[in-house]
Amino acid sequence: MTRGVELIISLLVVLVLFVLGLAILGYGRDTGYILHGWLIAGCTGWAAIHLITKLSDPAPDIPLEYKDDVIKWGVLACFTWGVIGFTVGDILAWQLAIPSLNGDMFWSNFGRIRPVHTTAVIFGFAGNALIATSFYVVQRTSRARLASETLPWMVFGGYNLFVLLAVTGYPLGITQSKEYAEPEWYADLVLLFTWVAYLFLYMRTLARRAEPHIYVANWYYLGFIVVIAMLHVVNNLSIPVSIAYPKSYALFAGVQDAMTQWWYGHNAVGFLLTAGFLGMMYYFLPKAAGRPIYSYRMSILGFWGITFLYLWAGSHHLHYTALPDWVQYLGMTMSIILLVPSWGSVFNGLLTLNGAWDKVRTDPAIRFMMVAILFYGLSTFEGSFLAIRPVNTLSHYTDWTVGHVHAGALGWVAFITFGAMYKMVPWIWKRDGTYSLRLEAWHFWLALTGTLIYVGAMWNSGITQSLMWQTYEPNGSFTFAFIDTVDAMIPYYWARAIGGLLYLLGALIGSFNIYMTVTGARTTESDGAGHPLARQAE
Amino acid sequence: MPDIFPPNAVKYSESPVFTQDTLPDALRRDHQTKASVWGRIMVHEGSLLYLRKGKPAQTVTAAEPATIWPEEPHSVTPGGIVSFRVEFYRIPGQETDR
Repeated sequence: MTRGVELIISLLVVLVLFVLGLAILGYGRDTGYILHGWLIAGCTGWAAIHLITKLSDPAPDIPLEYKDDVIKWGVLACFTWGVIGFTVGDILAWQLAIPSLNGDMFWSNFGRIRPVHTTAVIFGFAGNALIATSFYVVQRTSRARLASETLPWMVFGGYNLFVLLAVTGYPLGITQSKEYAEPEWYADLVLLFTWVAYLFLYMRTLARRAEPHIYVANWYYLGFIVVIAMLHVVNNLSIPVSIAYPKSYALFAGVQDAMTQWWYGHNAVGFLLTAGFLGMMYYFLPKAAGRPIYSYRMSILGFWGITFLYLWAGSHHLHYTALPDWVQYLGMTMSIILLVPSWGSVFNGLLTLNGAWDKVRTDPAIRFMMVAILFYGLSTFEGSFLAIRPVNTLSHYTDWTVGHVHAGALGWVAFITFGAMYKMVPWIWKRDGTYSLRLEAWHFWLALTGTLIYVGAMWNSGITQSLMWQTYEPNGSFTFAFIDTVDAMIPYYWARAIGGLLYLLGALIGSFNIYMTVTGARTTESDGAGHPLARQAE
Repeated sequence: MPDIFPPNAVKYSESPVFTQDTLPDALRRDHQTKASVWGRIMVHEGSLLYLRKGKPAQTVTAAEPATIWPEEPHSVTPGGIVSFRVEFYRIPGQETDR
């Protein structure tokens, strides 16, 4: 595909979204919806003008370098959304401990603010981390520059427009009420076009590779991109009520809708929060440790095991519901078998450190990655355990689930991200290292302490909650009123809020460290300094 | 892609012509020129994959020669049938060994 054709197709897509934005702001009746129309029309209008200008410009010289400028913006977006998401999460944790902090305003309702937290951390923080690192990894392992000069910006811009539409809509009540897929149909369309562009760009870059082999990290990143595309489309199939309102109705109803949602929800965990981050691990851990992957074969087997098994496991979220029993047992069985490739990846990661364990002590970035793998092992074991139906009678609808999710999210996803970022940021900004190893270590210990407090509190509160709910008097009535179980949670909610605060403090220190690294002195290693004559005039 | 080469460099030597069959293993592994020595990969036929540390791979053809930077580790891999030679250059006034 020539540059001109690519620009024209990009322009057409952008114009479609521009018309969508215009229609929303023109016909819309709700304030938030109209604002979203302006946001879509503004961003896509600006992109359209930019593309039209590019169309009339001569083809620029493409430097013999990797395309890292968009990755730098990805890092910025990752940390910005991370701090927003962690802050909102901790505010909610304090509100649960001290409910009067909520303020009781329509927009500050827990149900409206919680998705701001989940979207900001899952899609804003983790998603941008995956996009940024995937662009870094695919170029280095393919020894090829990204296959387009425009598409990486479209992917980055479109994706962050989606996250922005999502989090600004929730407080105003714009939601389709599907967990981890709350944005309404028009935001979903923005993401759909963006995601197709991402897949196309990734495949095309791989097709240009100079290496005969496709390194395993790319398999994981591709698995993440392909499956998220599939999940996003199917889970968001819905019929908008009218162009005047954001409201839509899901195509599926009843238990089919519930199954679709959890097929999506669990695989969002499996492919966005697991496969993508395993890709990150399989590149950044060996690079940082200076050791080859312990078993390349195991990494490939793990990929196919995870890809095959995860897709069946979603129904374990619907144990003892109207879902047919055989589907529940199928989900439970696949979830248990899933432990094999999951722990295969855990051992593969840990054994990769053989010969470099001293670096765990001296390099906080590697320590982040090592502990991330331990938390991955812990949360995948816990996940398989919770998927067993009798265990689920104890854990379901309790805070144990919240603890489980955060063991994975705080301990695995964010730890591997911080470890990778502490390595990638100095590499792409050409710095000798991060600004301060001591601050990195502070970040690590605050994050680890915060996570342990958080997860420990939720284990205790979850099991306490469940046991209280299931305690009966001899005559069959409940021993505890529901409010008794709420009261019993308060000490744990305090502990969680404190744990979250420590985690947030660590992330703020990490952001400061990254900022100082980026604004600090360039590397002393010769990078063209020895041959200035060959540089083109600025 | 812009072809960057110092305009005042003066050629002082060149390698024999290599083909995919005669390419020495030492050139397929990372190797480097001495200080102040520039190279120019001149492909006569076919294409050669030129790999530099920390850079995307570059396909070198007869129409697009490539620059070898002083002291920069690099390696080459034939892209099928190829014949090429390497020309060596110095910049007058920069010839002192460091």
